[in-house]
Amino acid sequence: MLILRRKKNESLLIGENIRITIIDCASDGVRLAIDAPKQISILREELSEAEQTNKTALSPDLRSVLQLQSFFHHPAKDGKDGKEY
Amino acid sequence: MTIQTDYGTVEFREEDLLIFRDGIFGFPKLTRYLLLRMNEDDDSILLMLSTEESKVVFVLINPFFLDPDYSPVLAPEELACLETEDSGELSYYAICVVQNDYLENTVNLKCPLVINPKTRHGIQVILKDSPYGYRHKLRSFDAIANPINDQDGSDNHADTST
Repeated sequence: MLILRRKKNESLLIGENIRITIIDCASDGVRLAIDAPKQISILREELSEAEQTNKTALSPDLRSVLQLQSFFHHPAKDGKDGKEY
Repeated sequence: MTIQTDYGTVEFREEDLLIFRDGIFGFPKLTRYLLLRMNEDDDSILLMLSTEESKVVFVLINPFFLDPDYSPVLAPEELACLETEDSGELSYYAICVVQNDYLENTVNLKCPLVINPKTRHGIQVILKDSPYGYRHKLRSFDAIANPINDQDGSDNHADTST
């Protein structure tokens, strides 16, 4: 992995058509400006991970869901078993 | 109105819907969902069905059921998006990844769905600077640990030798 030091308003180039410029640095974060072709997707890493996790969670197998449900025993609140049918 | 799902036919009214104006992560176009309890008398596990795409279903868990000390902190702009200043009046749900092998089930405590019950609007957030992750094993929580004690033997790798 390449690690390098840049100051405010300095840039770096990735390939021929991606430029990243440091707009501002502070102790709680860095602001970047990114010039890149439209077709290149730029995502905050955590967002990509969040999307991926949601996609894995999509529409699980019904039987597995019912199995999971069976683990959620009603948190037996003692003295409160007045079921109405 | 009704929708057909793998879980049967569900009848609902417009006012039952939850609206995620920006969708949820990875599903930006789906904005209308129904929340259904799986156990009649508690909110610990629920299904969230898209009314726009009937195949889209998520399993949600009440994160406070898993971890009574769960303490999500929302950013001011997230609270503004939900039209409230008091995060105490919001409802939180964590999306669960349900696997065929229940030992592998995980829950995403880092990206809860947050709903304002008054407006029925919701957003999904990514909690910053939080100790929570995207994939907590469900079995690591006391609330549902060791649910079944080896019904049919704990090791089911018997037929995977090829």
